Amino acid sequence: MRKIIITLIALSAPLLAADWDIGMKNPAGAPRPGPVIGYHKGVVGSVHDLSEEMGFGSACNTCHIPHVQGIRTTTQPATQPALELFRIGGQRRVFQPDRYMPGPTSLLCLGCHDGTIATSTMGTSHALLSGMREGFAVPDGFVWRDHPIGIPYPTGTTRDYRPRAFVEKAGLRLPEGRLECISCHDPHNTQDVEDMLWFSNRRSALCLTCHVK
Amino acid sequence: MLITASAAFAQQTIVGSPHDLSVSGPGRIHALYEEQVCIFCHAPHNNTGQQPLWNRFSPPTHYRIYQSSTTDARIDQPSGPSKMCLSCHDGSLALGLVASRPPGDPIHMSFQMIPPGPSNLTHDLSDDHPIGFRYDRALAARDRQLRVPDVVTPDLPMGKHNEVHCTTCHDPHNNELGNFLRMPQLRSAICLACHDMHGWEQSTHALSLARTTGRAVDPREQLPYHTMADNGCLNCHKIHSAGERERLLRFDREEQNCLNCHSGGVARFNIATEIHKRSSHPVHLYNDRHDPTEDPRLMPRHVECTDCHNPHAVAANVIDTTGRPSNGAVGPTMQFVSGVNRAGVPVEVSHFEYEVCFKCHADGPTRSRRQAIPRQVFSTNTRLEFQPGNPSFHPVIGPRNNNDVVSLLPPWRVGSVMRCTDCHNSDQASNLPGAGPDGPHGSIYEPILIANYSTRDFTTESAQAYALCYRCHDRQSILGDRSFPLHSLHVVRGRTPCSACHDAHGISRTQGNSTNHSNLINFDRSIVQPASGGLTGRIEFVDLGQNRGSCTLTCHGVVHVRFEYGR
Repeated sequence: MRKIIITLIALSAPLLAADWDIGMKNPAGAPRPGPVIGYHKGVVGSVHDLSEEMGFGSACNTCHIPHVQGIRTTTQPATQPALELFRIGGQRRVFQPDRYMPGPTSLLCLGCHDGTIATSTMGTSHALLSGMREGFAVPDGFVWRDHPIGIPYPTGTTRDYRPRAFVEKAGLRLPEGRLECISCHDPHNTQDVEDMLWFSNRRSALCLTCHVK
Repeated sequence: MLITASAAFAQQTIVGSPHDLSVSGPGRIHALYEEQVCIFCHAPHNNTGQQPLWNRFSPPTHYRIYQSSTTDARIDQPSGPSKMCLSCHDGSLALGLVASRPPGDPIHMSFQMIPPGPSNLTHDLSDDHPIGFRYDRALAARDRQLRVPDVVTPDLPMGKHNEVHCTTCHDPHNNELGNFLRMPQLRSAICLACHDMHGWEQSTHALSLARTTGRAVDPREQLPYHTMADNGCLNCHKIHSAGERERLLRFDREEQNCLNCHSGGVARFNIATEIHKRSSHPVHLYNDRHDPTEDPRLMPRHVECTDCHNPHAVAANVIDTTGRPSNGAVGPTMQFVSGVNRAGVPVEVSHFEYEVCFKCHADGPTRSRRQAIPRQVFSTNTRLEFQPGNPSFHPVIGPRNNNDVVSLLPPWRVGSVMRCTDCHNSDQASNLPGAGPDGPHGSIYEPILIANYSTRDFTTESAQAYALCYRCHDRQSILGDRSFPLHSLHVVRGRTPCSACHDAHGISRTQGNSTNHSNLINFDRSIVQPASGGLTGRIEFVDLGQNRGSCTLTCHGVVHVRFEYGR
C-alpha cells in the first residue's frame, strides 16, 4: 500500500501542483474557497475525484490503475464504451468505423460518459447518449448530439478553421492531429475552469480558437 | 495571448455583432448572465443532433409564404437552415430556449422573445423575399430575368438541391457588411448576382446620381446610401417586411413608390402635379390593379405608372423628340413595356409607342367609351382609327401619302410618321424643352393634350384656340385657303371649330369609305345637322378629287345641298 501511494505521488507530480494534501477533498456543497493555489485546481476534490465513492485509493484511481501490467494499461477505460449504440446517421462524420473512431484518450472518457453506466447519477448532462438524457424524446435509437471526435483537424488552407499550430499554441490539445475529448476538456482540472475546459469559454473564446466565425 | 486573440476576432466575427447575444453583446437583445456566444445556436454537447451542432428547437409554425403572379419559382415552406434562422426570427420561440439546457431552465434574456421590429419576420413571410425554392437551370429557363445558377457567385451559397435559404444572402456569423449580408448592397450587387432585369444596366434608375438623402425613405427603413444609383433596387423594393407584398415594394400604393422621388424632390420633374391636372391618367385612383401578367383583352380598367413604364428599364429621353417626326419607335422612357400591336395581338415588349397606348385605348373591353364629340361615325378603338388602310387617318401606325395636306410645317411633311404623344402630352411639354415633364401624365387641356384645342361651336379663331392643330399645320396656309378653299370662311367668319368637320384620329374602313370620309371628315353632330328638303336626314361629304368636294348638311342654319367647292 505504501508503495502504491508513493507511485501515485510520483505519477501525479508532473500533472498536478505539488503543495496539496493528498487526502483533502472539496466538501460537497460548500462554497469553493478563494484562490488558494492547489486547493481547487487539480483533480483532487474535483468532480472527477471519485475516491470517496469508490471507497479506496486516491483520486487517480478513478481512471488510472498502477502496477497491474498484463491486465490493462494504465489508461485503458474501466468499461468498454457502447459505441455500437450510436446511430451513425445522426452525425455522418462521426464514427464511421473505417475512418473516424474516437481515439484512445476519448475511449477512456467514453468508458464512463457513454451514458450506459450508472445512469442514475450519470444520466443527464454527463451522458453522451442522448437517449439517456432527460427531457428529450429520441424517436429511434441513439443519436450523437455532440461535437464530433476522432476527426482529423483540418489542414491546409481553409477559411473556416484556424491553423493547427495556432490552436495548440492557444492551449488546446490535438492528439495525433485529431480532435478528441481532451482537445477542449482538461480531465485533471488543472485550470479549474467551468466544465473542465482548458480555458474559459467566456465569449466563446474556446470555440473560436478553432472556428473562424 | 488569449485575450489578444479574442479581441482580434471580435473585430470581424460574430463576437460583438448583433448576433452576439451573450451578456456582453452590443445589442438591446442579450443574455442577463450567459457569457458564451455560440451557445444560443450551437452546443458542443446535448444539442438537438441536427448539424451544425444545432442547439435550438425547430418552430412548428406553418408560414404564410410569398406569392406572386410573376414568379416562376415553386415556393415551399421554409426548411433546413432557413428554419433555423426562423427559430428566433419568426418571434415564436423564446430566445433563451436551447437544447443544451434543461427545458425548465432557459438562458435568461433581456427580451424573452424577439421584439417586434425589422428582425422579427413573424409567421407572415409573404412580405419577404421568397426562400425555400429551387434555383435551378429550369427556373432560369422559365424566368429570363434570372441568371443561370451556374454563373451566380459562390459567395451566395445555396442548399443541397440549389434551394435559396436565408443563408444564401446572410452569413449569420459575419456582420462586416451590415445586416449580416454576404455581398454589398451598394449598387445592388447582391441582388444583381441573381436578378438580371431587362434593360437595368442602362436605366436611369441604375445610373442616376440624384441624391436621395432625406427622401425615398419609409418610416420603417432608411435608405443605406445617398444616391439613386448606389441604392439601386432598394429605392423601391424592400426585401423584408415590404409594404406591398407581391412586388416587395416599399409602399402599398404603387404610385407612391414612384412619386416618392418623382414629386419634385429627387427626380427632375414633378409628376404628382401632372396627374392631378384637369385631364390625366389618374394613377392615384387605382390601387393594386395592374399585374404584369395581365391580358390586355381581359384586364379590369385601371391605370398605373407601370402600365406605361418599366421601372427596371426606364431611361431619360436624351433628345426631346416631342413634336418632331420619328419612326414612332418607343422612347427610352417606355422601354421593355408590354403592348398590343397594330393587329390587336398582345406583345411582351412594345416596339412602337402606340402599342403601349393600344393596351387600353384599342380593343380592351373596359376602355373608355365616352363620346366627347358626337361624330357621324363613332369609334373609341384607336387601333382601328389609325389603321393605314383607312379612308383617312393621322399617320401614327404608318405614313400617309395624301398630297392634299399642304399646310404641314417643317420638319413635318407628307409621309412623316407621328406618335400619340405628339398630341397627347403634358401642356408643359409644349413650352421650352425641359420646362416640364413630357408624356401624357396629365394636362390642363382635355383630353391630355399638349396644347389648347377648342371644340366648342362659335369659337373665335386665334392661334391659341387651335394651338394643337397649328403645331403642325401652318395657320397661314389653312386660313389662306390653300387646301380647302373655304377654310377661312368657316373657321374665321363662321367661327366653326376644326373638330366640327375633322376627326383628329381617323375613320376606320370598317365604318367609313374614302368617298365620304377622306381628309379626316367626320362631322360633329352637335354642330352639323342633316340637310332639309329633298335630301332630308343626310349628312354627307363627297370627295371629288384634290381639294374638291361637295357637302350635304345644315350648319349654323345654312343648308348645303350638294354644295360643291374646288380650287
